[in-house]
Amino acid sequence: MTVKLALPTGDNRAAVAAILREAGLPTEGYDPSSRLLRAHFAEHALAVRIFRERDIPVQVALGNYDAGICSAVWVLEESIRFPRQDLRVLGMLPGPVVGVWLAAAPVAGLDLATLPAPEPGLRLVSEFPNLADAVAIRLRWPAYRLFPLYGSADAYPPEDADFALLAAPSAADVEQLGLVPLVEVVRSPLVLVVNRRALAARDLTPIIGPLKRLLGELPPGLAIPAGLPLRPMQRCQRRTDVVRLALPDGHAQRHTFEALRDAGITFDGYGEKSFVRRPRSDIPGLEVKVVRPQDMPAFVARGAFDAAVTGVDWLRDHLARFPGSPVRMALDLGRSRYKIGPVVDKAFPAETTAEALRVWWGLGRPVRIASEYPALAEDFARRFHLPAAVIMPINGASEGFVPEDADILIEGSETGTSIRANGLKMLDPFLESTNCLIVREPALTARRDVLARFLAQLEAGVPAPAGA
Amino acid sequence: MSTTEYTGASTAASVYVRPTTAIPYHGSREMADTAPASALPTRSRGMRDLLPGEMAAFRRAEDAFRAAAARWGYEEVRTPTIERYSLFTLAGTLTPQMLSRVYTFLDWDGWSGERVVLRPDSTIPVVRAAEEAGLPLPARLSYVQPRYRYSHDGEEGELWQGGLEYLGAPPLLGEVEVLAVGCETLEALGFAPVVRLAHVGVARALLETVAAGDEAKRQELTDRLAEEGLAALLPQLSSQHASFAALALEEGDGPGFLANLRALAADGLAAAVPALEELESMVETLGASGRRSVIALGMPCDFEYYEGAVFEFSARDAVWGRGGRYRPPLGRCRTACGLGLELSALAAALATGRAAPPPAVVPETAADLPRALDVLRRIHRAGLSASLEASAAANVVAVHVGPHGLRLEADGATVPVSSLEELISVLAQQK
Repeated sequence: MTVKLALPTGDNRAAVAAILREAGLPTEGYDPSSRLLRAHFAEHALAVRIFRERDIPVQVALGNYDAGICSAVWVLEESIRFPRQDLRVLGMLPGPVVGVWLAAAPVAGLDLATLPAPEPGLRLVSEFPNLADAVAIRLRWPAYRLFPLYGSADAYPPEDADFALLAAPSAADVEQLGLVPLVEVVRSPLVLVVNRRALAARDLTPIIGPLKRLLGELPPGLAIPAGLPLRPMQRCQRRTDVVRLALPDGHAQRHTFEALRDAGITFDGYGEKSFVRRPRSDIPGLEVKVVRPQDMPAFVARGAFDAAVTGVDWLRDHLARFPGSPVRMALDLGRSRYKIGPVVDKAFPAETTAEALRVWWGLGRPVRIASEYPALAEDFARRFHLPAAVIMPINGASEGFVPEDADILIEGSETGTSIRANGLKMLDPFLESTNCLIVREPALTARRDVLARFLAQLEAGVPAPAGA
Repeated sequence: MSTTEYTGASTAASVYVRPTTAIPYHGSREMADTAPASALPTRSRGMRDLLPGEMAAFRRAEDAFRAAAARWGYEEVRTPTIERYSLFTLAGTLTPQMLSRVYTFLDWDGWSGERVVLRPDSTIPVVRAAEEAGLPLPARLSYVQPRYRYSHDGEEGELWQGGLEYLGAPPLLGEVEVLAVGCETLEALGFAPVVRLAHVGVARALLETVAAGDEAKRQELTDRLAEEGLAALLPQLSSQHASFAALALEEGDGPGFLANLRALAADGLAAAVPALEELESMVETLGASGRRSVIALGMPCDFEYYEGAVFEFSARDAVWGRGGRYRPPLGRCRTACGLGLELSALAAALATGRAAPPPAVVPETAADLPRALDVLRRIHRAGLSASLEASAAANVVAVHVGPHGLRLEADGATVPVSSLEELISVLAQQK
């Protein structure tokens, strides 16, 4: 019987490959340079699938995979919120260890091994929202505000959050991000995690056997040292005498840089491929910060930023979830153009969404939809009356989900190359996404003149539509 | 019809069958955790259905509580099922363990970062509502509503409580009044309640001897006291206080037991003495009014929340409700007394199965339907129950309405009835 193993893409790929080699397990196609998402090793009775690390505990808990290797923090993030999930960590594995740190900006006036005196309304950002919740609860912060993030947590303190809970190898690494590490709440080594039901009922020796001698003790859980001194802290309020602009990092950066350049706008520290968190603006009254585009709509809605360059896809996903949000698109920048629609297996017996509906309606079981846009996926399922649709929010490496782990992927594609390369096809796209400038209405800044001038300048650089 | 065999990139083979109408497609694997769409989804884990027998028992318990509360002058309120999460973190009265078991999620305006929660507790919302509405104090408020908390065994996700919040309750009078309402409710349901009494002042005095000046230790032990009771402190206590704690963990009744405790407390635990004296007054008052009580200082209690006497209602080897003196975490009110009776548990204990169906009124033909409806109206106006049926079922009293008048069918015999008045009289006797 084949054992299904989930392995991480990203930073830990090389370390996990080394573990597999050490254990005598195959690593073909799992080199850091490989773009393969799955492999089948019949002689080892092993089927391997590559995921973003945070998706691994979810897939193992669902029973889609028997076992996985990932950082312990992602297992803790899942199990601390959903303690009944069928996850069992068998032990630590050799490799890099990161810490999860509670950190503040230097202006807060806190030091290593101190904690803030609890006061109402402390704001905490994190890629680990379940862990962050547990930390705030244990520290008894009254009326705290938790803002879940896709990433770039270090960008937010002090203006947009009082604290960040983030992963870093050491206190020095937190300092390198410009923050003050206060306390490490989790030590996170690589671990082997298995599905509890699979462990009880199936022969998992093809994976447990080779890894057994490398397994260490169980990793520590969430631990906040007792007795740390509580200090009053300095908190920042957002300034309303400036316009606060958010620009994207990651894939969207190049397109944004080009849009700004064509409008004659440059920011020192925001290039085509490189950036600093707070690029310098020569436009009086304009402050710039670089964050993840996925996180922008929510922070613009809250008024942390007055404007942001993000994708129509992230804006629509936000509005699908929060129709009353005060965010709107102020300007379509027309770049980074791609189509979003339902993606299915190449051999799926339908070429259009209308044809596919008859297949999905006849399934006799829930339709599984995986997407990085969970609200758009929900909306799709509602519009087409898909029976008992199960939405699986995912975090990347998405082409590998169909057909084994999902029936449909709601996904964006610029040219379709990656989709075709993974044996998939897109049915009818329902959204064309471009990059765009979003704003809050009403704006919170008192400098609406600055915002209006910036918008006008940006608009002047937008290329005319083809045929106009 | 054509059939397409598909193996694709999957390790498991999948078969697509393409008929002209319905297209069965099984995908590449069955889902591990999700029932087929064709199966009836079961109720959500931890939530409750109250079926007819249980619902009748629930109404009995609820009515008994409402009646007792109303007799003592309590006015009923109801608070929203969904509250702001920050209400509970701001109040600071739920322990981290409790807060980590709430049902919390983002509302439609969740972009603001404000989460909401299914009401995990009713006291804080009732205090909030009274404050928000500016109700004059003192205020006697009662409620019947569920609270929602995740539990690992799935048994207590949704628990209905009948509760009192006596905001601004005077010392002693508040406690004995709230206790009386609880006892009257249980007595009306056929229970013989015993009031188990404790006082957070005792636990607090002992805690000070082991955690004075150590906030972290105080916090840890406070949380453990809420879960484990006084026993959580035992390993920490000095020998000087261990004998007091050993006796305090026993249960006793009467002023003699309290006098023994007071004697031991006098030696280095003076802070516990006022609490013991307060309990003594309560025991004497309850005893003189015919109520049974025991001193049970070891009972778990959340004394971030409570500030004075706390109590449980015990009967038939189970606890049916709890309460005590607390300091409202928000607003103008400085002190209050409250209780919560576990109506879900009471209903389960009282459930006796479904009641017998009411008499059936059966029109013999379609033309007799208007007359049958008139008969039903007259029966209902008399305060009796009856249902409209197409035919008479076995073992059910039936009133046949036909062109030749009314006929009553009971115990296998059918007899004519001369008038509606006679019919109602017979049905009233059979009720």
